[in-house]
Amino acid sequence: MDFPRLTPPDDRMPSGRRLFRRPAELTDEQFDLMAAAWAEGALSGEAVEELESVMTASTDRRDRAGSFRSIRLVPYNENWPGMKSAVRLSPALTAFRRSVIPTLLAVAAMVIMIIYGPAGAKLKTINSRGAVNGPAMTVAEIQVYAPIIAVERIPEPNILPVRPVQTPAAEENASQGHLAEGMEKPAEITGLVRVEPIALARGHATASSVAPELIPAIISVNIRDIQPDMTLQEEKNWMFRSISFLAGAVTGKEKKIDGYMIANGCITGINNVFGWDMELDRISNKSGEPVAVTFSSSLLSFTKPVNKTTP
Amino acid sequence: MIVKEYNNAVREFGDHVFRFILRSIKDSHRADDIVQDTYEKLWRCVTEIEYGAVKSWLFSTAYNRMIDVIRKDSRLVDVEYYDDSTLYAEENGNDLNEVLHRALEKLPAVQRSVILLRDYEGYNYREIGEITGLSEAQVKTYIFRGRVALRNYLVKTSVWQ
Repeated sequence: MDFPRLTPPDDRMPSGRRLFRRPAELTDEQFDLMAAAWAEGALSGEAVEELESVMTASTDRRDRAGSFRSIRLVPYNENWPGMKSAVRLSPALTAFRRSVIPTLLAVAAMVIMIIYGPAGAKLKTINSRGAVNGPAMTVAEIQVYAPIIAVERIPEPNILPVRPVQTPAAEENASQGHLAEGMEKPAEITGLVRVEPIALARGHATASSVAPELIPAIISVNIRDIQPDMTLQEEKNWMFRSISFLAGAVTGKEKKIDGYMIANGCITGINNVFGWDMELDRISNKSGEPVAVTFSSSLLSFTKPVNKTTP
Repeated sequence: MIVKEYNNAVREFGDHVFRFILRSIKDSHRADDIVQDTYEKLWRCVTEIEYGAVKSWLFSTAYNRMIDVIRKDSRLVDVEYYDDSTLYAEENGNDLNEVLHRALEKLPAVQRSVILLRDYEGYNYREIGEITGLSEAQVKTYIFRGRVALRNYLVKTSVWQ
């Protein structure tokens, strides 16, 4: 059985002669593409011969091909504006710039502040006079041979009678009735010295930590005169102002520096260096004023009320 | 590559990469950002790249980044079917190089890039193909068509009689 077949007509089957393209038959678009390649030097041998034959036959096409040689872009002198920011420093130089130079500048600033501050003026005074003159202040120094609370009970007959010693400040406090809780008036003690009044009055101990027993070992209380520092408060204020100024210069903000902040910074630094776990917390009342400071570590913990006179 | 070589790459090729990107996208701020990103990327892998290959790496990375930016801006013109009705305009300038650069701005992005790499940096077809991710034949085609378009621009704007 014969099936119908689709056969192309003769006019759709080009003869072999029509497959070849003669140079004169090149369209302008074909010629331009060849000329552009020729101007780039990208034509092969046979294509170059074909193009040259066309250019030889036509002057217009020769000029047209020649024009492609002049189509070349020349760069302008446009500079990259961000070049400086892309340049990197070596790691050593970067570390030097980031750590050593600020440290040196901070040290230099502190030295300048110390030299030109009250401490520097004081040093100049000492150097010129040899000593700082000022009114004497009497303080009591208690010689402690053993911890105050570590007292053995001693029978009454073995206690040696001693003369009670009172400092002027203690006498004044006693006369004004400013004795701490649990204190007895020294005048009422005959022949014995209690450690509580003196220790509490001088701020060396708290009432809870002082044993109520009589301590015969603590019998010597020396009075000595020391030279008070007239500019101590002034120096403290100066140092706090300097630290506050430096903190403001570094952070760019005005920040109030107090003792708690400094102590907390020191504890944080020690924790970072030694890997310890110490904590310092500030306890505030409802109005936001600090009332106590709590310190805790694995070895020691305590809570201390805030002294409002402390800067 | 060490830090010194990286800095040399910044000083030696920074202007070239910036020029190439600037002429391709015609926006100095974007070009600056693209070149900054390119060098930031180079810095992150600075130890993995040899100094001898850094120039083509810079151009390739900057080109790809530029294509991403163009695609994000939806300003990428289809290479094969771009409309050339806006290609020709009245041209009053006499400086051939200036007119050519204005004509270059009217070309499709890919043609523009390959012509810039060819004329500005003198790369061969293979190197341009490596930078742009095109085959050598495609690079040739884009360059030849771009040249023809530039010539036609010059003729039709009466710069060339």
